[in-house]
Amino acid sequence: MKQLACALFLACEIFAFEWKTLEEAKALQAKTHMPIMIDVVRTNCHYCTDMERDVFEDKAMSAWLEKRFISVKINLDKEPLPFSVKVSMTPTFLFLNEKGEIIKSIPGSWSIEDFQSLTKGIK
Amino acid sequence: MKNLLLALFLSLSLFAAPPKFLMPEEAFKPHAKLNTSGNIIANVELGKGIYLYEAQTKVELKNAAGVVVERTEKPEAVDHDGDRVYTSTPKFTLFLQKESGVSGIVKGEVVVSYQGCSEQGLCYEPDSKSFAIDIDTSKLPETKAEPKALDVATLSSADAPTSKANADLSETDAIANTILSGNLAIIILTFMGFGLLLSLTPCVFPMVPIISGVIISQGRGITTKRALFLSLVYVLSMAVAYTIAGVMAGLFGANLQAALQNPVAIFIFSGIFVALALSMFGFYELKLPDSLVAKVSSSSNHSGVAGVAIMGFLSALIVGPCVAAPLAGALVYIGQTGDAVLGGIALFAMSIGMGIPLIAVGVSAGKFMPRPGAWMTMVTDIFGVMMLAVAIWMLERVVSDYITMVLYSVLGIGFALYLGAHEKEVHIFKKSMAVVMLIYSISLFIGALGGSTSMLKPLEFLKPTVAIAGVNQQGSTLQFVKVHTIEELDMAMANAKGKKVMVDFYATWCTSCKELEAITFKDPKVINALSEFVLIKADISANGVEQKALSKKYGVFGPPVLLFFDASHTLQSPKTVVGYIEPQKFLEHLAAL
Repeated sequence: MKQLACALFLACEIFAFEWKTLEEAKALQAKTHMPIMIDVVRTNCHYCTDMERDVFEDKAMSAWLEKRFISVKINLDKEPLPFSVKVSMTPTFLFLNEKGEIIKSIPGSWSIEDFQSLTKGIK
Repeated sequence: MKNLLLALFLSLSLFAAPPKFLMPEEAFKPHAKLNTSGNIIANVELGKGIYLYEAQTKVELKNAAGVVVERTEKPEAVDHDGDRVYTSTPKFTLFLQKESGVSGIVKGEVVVSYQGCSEQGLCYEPDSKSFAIDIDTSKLPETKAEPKALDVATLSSADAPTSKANADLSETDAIANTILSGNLAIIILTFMGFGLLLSLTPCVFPMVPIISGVIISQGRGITTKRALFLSLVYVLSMAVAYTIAGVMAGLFGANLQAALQNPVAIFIFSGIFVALALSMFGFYELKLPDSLVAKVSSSSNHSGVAGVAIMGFLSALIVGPCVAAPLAGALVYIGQTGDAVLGGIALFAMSIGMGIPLIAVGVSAGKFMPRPGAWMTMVTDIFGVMMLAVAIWMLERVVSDYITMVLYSVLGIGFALYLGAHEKEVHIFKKSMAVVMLIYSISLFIGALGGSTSMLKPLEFLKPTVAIAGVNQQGSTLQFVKVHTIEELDMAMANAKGKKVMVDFYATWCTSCKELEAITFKDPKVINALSEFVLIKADISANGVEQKALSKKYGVFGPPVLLFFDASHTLQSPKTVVGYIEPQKFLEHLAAL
């Protein structure tokens, strides 16, 4: 439907959720003091792709997340996790505070509503 | 201390997440053991809503000296959102064999590796588990002395491979096997078909003006019957040339076509075309000396036949040196089996197929030739110009682009003036054509003086260099390492250690190579797909001793041939590409590597 509206009115914006690299995110965290959210994915994990499409590419949800977290994506097929913790599932969402500690880990893919209620308490 | 805290946090938070998902050890329970007949039985027990990727699920036997897995039986995977998966516990059976001389108990290790997902919306990290086993070799059968491998080199016509085996062979080898099937009618028809397809490639295009010119140069009032006869003679001698060259190449590994690609042969042939063109312009009548004609035949009509036959023979060898998969296939067959007769028949059938459209061209050239008069003069003149163009086109292989561009532009300017670009009393259509040609030819001339070598964009050198730098950054082109000898190739391969390699055998005189270059290798998707390869160009234009050795080492009959090597630099011979390949097909080919 979205694509249809897009084609009909030719007025759609090209929209993509903004993922930062971990370095960028750390620099930004020093200023904004927001937690960093790391989305740990793999290329062949189609739930990761589905969630990215259905949740992060949603404009309202993207704005909601941007107010709360600095988002980083790490694809384990391309790079390892930059700390000693291992995840056993993808997607897994790791939330890092300013000291670099993992304050929450949420495995699995979720709908917008579920993901909001799971993450709204994280500060 | 910090790490401990961190671990504590993590475990707490994991438990804090809703207990919706199975932990990996609940989701997957791998097992492996030996059954009573000494074979390995393994499975991965799946939790509720869990499935496994087929490609990532493997059972392997490791560290078992003298025991090999003869074959593995595994269940059929099903489609799940585009992935091939196992949705229920998959069972694997590994049938073992011992090498001769092995006895007693052999210790080994079974490694079950797997990766899967939960329907509830997550995927698990790849994992594996290993099981120690004691294999009782007295229960196992012995391996056969030599594993039965399919290799074209060991094939004899006695054991023709099945079509299933063909799937693992390169196109060339599959074609070689078509001949092995032995049915003469099928061979002839198949190869005629290949020939017809080849006739649509640029290899054959230059022959179109040649055959038309040959027919027209026979003079006015030529009958359709005679035009057909002469076209047949041309095509037959072309086919004979192909067959002889092919059989020799197959038997002796010498490439007659390549041998004729030396400057002397090309200058001579190019000269013949200039002579033909001049005769078209009416400077003189092209005929064999009367005394010779009298000796060869009493009828003057036959003088033309010999000329046409020589023309056909030479144009096959010099004008169209295109090696495509069917040709190489026939050559491989001849080389492997020494059966020149069957291979020769295949080549002959292919050449006839290639010639069928040429016969049509020849006949229509004779048929639609206008009555003597002003028109007739113009048609012969146009063919004269085409002959000159062919002469220049052949020179491209031995002289620099700069010279051929100047020649083309001079030809174009001359032709435009002939058509009447500067005259007032000329029909507007003819004049427009002439003016366009004049402008293009002048651009070519200026382009050549300005150092451009592109016939399509002669004035590109006028663009500001900044813009060109910008273009280069965006539209990246493929970077090839050029080699000419076995040593150079070995060195280039050594430099590419640990990387996949593609070697492109090419020559400046090879039309299909230019197509490959201009179309396939310019395709952005292809450029992208080739980014993981180290690209090497083996230039065999010179056709010296070293180039022949290089070709022979890799079984290359003639360019273009693309060889693929994996990261450990083993030649993927079934993946070899011979001849031109379209971008889309090439992408599919790369994807299958």
